[in-house]
Amino acid sequence: MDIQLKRGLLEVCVLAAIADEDSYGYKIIKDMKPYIELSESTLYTILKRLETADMLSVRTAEHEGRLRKYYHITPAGRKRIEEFKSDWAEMLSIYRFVTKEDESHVENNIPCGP
Amino acid sequence: MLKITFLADLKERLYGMPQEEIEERLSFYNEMINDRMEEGLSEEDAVAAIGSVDEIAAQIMSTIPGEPLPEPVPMPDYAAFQPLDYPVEDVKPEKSLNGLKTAFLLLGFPIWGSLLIAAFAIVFALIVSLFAVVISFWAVAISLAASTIACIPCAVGSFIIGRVPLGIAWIGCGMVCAGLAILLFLCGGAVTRGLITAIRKMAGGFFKLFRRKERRS
Repeated sequence: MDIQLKRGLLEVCVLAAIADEDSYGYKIIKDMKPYIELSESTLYTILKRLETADMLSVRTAEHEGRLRKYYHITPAGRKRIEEFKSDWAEMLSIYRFVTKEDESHVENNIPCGP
Repeated sequence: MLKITFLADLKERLYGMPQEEIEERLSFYNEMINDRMEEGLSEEDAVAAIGSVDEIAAQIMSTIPGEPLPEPVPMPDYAAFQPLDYPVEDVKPEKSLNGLKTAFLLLGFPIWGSLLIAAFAIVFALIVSLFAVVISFWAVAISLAASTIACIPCAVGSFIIGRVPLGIAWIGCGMVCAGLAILLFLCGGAVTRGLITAIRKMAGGFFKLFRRKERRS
């Protein structure tokens, strides 16, 4: 997959993972696992970028006698998810057009019997 | 691998990044390992689940898919270009040893310099004294020959003034001198040849000593 596209997708995935409630690194990876495999270093980079873009905020809280970072989605982050949804609706219609075109193309090229 | 080893290895591998970022990344991985352990994994398994330090370091450095590299990393050459398994310690001491060697050579000059001069002086003195022996040998031989010649007029004069026994004594002296002179002249050649071979050997040995030292250093 195109790296820019994948990068955008992963960002939205991480935002979606913290959309319902604040989450922490390992939980984000676990929640995303059924859909997309994410390595720790990739997650770190994405979280960092989202934080810089003000799409999430970070707080440190104590957990079982140690510190854990929790990530909280900001309005800008929610807006990004909405943007993604509308973009994707557009993408889907384009996709349908492309695949239909492909089918008709294939049909046209099938040699007819004698 | 234990968590502490993993984090220490990773820290070493991220050398060159801003300190703050290294700490942040390490605490991120620390949290990840702790969360896995909390879920019931053993420390070793939790660390293994994160992946190998090599992989992670490579991933961080290439950051796929991600932001451009953290900074134009001021990476020292040996860390950036040597194979990862190459022990860094092997390179460093060699460099500093060379520095030390130079420093010792410079600082030690008053000692080894004077010793060197002394060695040269000893060799020079030996050569000069050997030459002196040979020269004095020839000097004795020549003076004996001269004495022989001087004895002739003395003997002739003694006979003329009628002192026959004195004349005979002079002839005897002259013959003794002539005999010794002939003997010394005969030996002189051998002694000179001996001197030349001795000097050659000495010089050869001296230069060999230096050549060996050069090869060693």
